[in-house]
Amino acid sequence: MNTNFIKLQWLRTGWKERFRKAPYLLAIAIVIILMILLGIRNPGYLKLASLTIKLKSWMPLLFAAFGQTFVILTGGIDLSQGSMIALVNVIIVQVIMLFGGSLPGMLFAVSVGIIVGTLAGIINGLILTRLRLQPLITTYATGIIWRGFALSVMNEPGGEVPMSFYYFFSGSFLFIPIPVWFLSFIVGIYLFLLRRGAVTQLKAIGGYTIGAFESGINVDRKRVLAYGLSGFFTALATIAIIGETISGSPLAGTGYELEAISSAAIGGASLSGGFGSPIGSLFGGIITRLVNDVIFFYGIDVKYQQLMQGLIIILALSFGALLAQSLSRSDK
Amino acid sequence: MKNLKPVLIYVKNPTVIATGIALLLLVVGEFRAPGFAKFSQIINMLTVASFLGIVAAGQNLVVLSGKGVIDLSVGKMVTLGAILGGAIANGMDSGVVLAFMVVMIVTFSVGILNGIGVTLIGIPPLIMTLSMGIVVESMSRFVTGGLAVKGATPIMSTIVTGRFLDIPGIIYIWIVFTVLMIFFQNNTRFGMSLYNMGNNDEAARLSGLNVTWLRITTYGLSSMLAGLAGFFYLGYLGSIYNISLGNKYTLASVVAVVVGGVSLSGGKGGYLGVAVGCILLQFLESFLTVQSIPPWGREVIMGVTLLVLLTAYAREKKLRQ
Repeated sequence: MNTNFIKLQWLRTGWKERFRKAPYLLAIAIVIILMILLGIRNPGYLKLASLTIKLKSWMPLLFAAFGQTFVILTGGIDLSQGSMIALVNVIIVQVIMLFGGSLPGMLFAVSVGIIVGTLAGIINGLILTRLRLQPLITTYATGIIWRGFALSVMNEPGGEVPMSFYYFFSGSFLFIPIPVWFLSFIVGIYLFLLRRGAVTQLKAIGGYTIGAFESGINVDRKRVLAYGLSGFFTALATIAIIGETISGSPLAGTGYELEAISSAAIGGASLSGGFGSPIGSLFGGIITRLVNDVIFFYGIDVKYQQLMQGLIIILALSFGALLAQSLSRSDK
Repeated sequence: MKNLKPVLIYVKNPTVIATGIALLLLVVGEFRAPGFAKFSQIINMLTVASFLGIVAAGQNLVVLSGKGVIDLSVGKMVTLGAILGGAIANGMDSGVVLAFMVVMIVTFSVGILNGIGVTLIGIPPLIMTLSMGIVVESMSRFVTGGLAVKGATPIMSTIVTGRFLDIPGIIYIWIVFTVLMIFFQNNTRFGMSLYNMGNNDEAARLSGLNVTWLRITTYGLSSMLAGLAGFFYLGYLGSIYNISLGNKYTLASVVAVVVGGVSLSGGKGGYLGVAVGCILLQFLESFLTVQSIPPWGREVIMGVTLLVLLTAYAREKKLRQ
């Protein structure tokens, strides 16, 4: 009798419970629907080769959204991401040119870029926590500063990176395309952090800061960690951008922060913090990009393209928000 | 020491700090580049600041009404206001009233949609208004149809730039507007409710305020004010040069609001501070422009100054209390 009751309960609320554990299920469902829509219209799109090329061009946004999510989980936001991309971009390109495009030079440049990105993120976090400022406005201000530094390194688009950089990202290693390696790498980092308990702590901070503080989490240090991670993944995103553009520009990355934030929101992250998953943001980023392709392949007039894009994002968000509302109502 | 305390509180007031820095900028600017603090020059700077002032008023109301509530569609709304105004007036003075009405109604309705998305559907304000910005931008595209729109009509230009006692009309408009805003915030039921909501949403609801309706209307007002600013901006510019002419106002309005002492967690700060914040931002920008430093240095100084201003009075409470 008792077990029966429990089973019925499980049947009734199973999907809700699952959604709560994995907020990205909705995003995955939307990705599948969009893929089917694209497959109907253009079967070639779903071929492995074509998807690999697509994945390569999506990588910058995916990395940016991935990094942004760690910050969003703590209830913060990183508006300096776009400028950070510009800063890392020009530094990497300048260092590569300094070494004349040799392989060791490129490796050195890439590591310098990653260090600069991570440092920029950590500085964001330190300013926020030490001076107790609000993330939105502070990262906007630091964003202006990063852009200024980027302009000081390179005051106009230019520079040249060897084509091998481009081929590297298009190539594959052990029969698996490089972008897939990169994605596995960042997911690996996430799983590592998850196992260490860091992600749970970040969520705790976002969900209820004072509670997290009182249960002994070093709130300030964890917030700095979140911004540092954001900087690190932003640097990776920049490397992926250079793999596409093969040049430097102090204006690179404009608008990326906003796309990354909306990707995270579509991927199920709550912008007030405490709820969400970087994996979900990856799917959110894929949705953001797939929507463009759906609009393109269905031959919708260019005039309506942007309108459709905005409307689809709003619809996806409304659906997620209404679902979340019905979930919280069933809690009560 | 006892009677020093009220003085200290007064000095720590964001409006006073912002005014002080603005005056300081004028003095230093005059030393570095003679003519910087000339009357006509100040009037020019105020003219440019007035459009931001009107946009920031809407942002002020929205930010005031709660934690994390923000309107990032205002920049695109400025563009829409300018383009719609130009397209409907079609260069003829007889169409100005109609154009004005249409701009107000359209922008207000879009703002209402923002509010509905935020309150009834529950989309985070930041994302809702950003996505709405995309939609609004494409609306602007529709209106133009890819072709140039007629610019300001003579009467629009006269109202905004026509000078009376050497001061352009827009500054008189802004002064009247400021007085009305301060009255609205402090002496009307609506304005006072916003402070209540911002301090404690739940308490405001329990004490009988219709929080949902108030927030939806606030978003409507914010968009409408942005549209109004766009309409005036058209009169100032004379013609529309591109579709992104209002974009800079989105984040500038948020910065002006914060510099003016409005807390992003809601419930604190009035329009007087915001107006001073707008003026300060414009002074700062002009000041950095006349200095002989490279563009990148200007950006860095702008960012650092913002951080310093924020540290001066926009700090949050300590966790350990």
